[in-house]
Amino acid sequence: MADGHVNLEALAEAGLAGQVVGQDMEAWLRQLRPALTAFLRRKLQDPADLHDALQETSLRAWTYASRCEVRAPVSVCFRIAEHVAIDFARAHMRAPPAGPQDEVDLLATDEPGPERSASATQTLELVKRVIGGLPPGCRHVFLLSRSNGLSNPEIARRCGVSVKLVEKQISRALRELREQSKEWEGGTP
Amino acid sequence: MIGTGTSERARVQIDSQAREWQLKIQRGSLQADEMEEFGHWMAIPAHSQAYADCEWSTACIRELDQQQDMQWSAWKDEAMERATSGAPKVEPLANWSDLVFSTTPRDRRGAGEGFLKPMLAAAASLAMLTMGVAWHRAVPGNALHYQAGEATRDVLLPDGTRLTLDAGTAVDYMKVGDTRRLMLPAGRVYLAVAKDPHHARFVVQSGQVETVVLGTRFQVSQQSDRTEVVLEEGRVRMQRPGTEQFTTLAPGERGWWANDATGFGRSAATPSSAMAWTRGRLMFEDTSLADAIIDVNRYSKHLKIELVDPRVAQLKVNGSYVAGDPELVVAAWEATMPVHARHEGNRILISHD
Repeated sequence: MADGHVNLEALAEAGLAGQVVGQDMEAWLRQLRPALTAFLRRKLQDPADLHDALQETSLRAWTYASRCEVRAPVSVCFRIAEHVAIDFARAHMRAPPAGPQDEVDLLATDEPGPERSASATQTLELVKRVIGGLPPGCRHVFLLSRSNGLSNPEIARRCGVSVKLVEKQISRALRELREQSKEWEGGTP
Repeated sequence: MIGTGTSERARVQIDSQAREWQLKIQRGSLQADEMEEFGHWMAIPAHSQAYADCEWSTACIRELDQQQDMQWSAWKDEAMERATSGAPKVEPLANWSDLVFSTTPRDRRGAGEGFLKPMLAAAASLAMLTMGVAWHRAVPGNALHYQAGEATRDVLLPDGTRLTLDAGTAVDYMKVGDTRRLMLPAGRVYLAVAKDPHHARFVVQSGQVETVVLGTRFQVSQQSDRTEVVLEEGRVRMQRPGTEQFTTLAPGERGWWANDATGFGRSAATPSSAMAWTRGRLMFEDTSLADAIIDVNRYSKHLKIELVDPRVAQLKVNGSYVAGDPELVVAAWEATMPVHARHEGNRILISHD
């Protein structure tokens, strides 16, 4: 948690490079607040920690957004909240962490999580390759959904197939993406 | 990762739920209690993982959309073709029709400031162009018309884009298919383009030039045969429809095209002064007196300044002036430049001292 503070100061010294992104993240945090509250209520062992945990989540999310380009802000917020809850639980046990290389520590602030760890260009290349490798019907449906922004019933109606099939095909595309990005990153999700 | 114990059917269902949540969050239409429900939903690991995959892949695809990749465009065209040929008849999509046909901009205040901000800042995602084909197909009468009178006017478009129209400027806006198009026959407009949940591109059409929005805040002015764009934040591309000519601007740059030009011009600009008019100020930086007078007159309906002595036309004007008060401006000029002003009815005539 101290890490968050240090980074904030370093950021302030380094100038305002991350300011715009930081503000975006602030807006996301404001919008997601009721959701994060409900989420933390379920994850925290001690309800009295709620307020502090929300604060800590905001701080870490802000720091994270100031340092990295955030592709998936909503997921990042929840991922961070998850780790905050784990840290609070650990503090209650009054036990030192298992070790400096403890997985959760690594994940605390630097972990890319939903951002994945590869460089932006590599990631996009991978996504393109996976989508190119999909059967045409599956690729059409996935692109109509994600690139053209059509709803599933809309795609079903326009392509003359059932909504169930549309859902299945989108799910299949997602599965390919998640499996191949896992394999490609050497098994570290 | 979604556990291996999750059945195929359950996973399909979770992926669909994740997508529904994502769309609702993007639209900013969730009430507090729905947000809470989303938080509970996310507390289940398989759900949050599905949401992460959904959000991440959408973002990647949006980025791929922005790149000019032939293969990618071909896949998209294929998909579009599949969608149109499979449809019984071609008609505007349900979620587009309210934008195209509504005459009153949708009230977005309910969405809250916290939502609009990321929308504006994250802004538009565009690249491939269809050279205004959609526009020509459009039925006239669907366009929204906005006009500014003697003062500047702020306009909120149905998609959340904020415009500031300069005095005397009129624009038409319409959304057809996946293009949001603003027509600027003449005048000047400042834009903060909202991100579109369906990634519709935003194009400003002025004179011979299209400005395709790749970023957020910029202004376009169209004066006689010259189109000029000043970019404050983000990225825009100016292009000549039907040709290969284009230029991409970075923040703090000015790009222009004149009808007799052979290519786009580009130079450094100071966005804060170029856009001072949006704050009710006129700011000049080494502007010729002739050009400054055009700007001042734009804000004054009855009293017009006229240059009667060509010798002073190229004098350089600097400084910040209140828009809408030509007398005050002229008094300041008389005090600082070798010019003389004479009032004649509704005209102020400027000559050499």
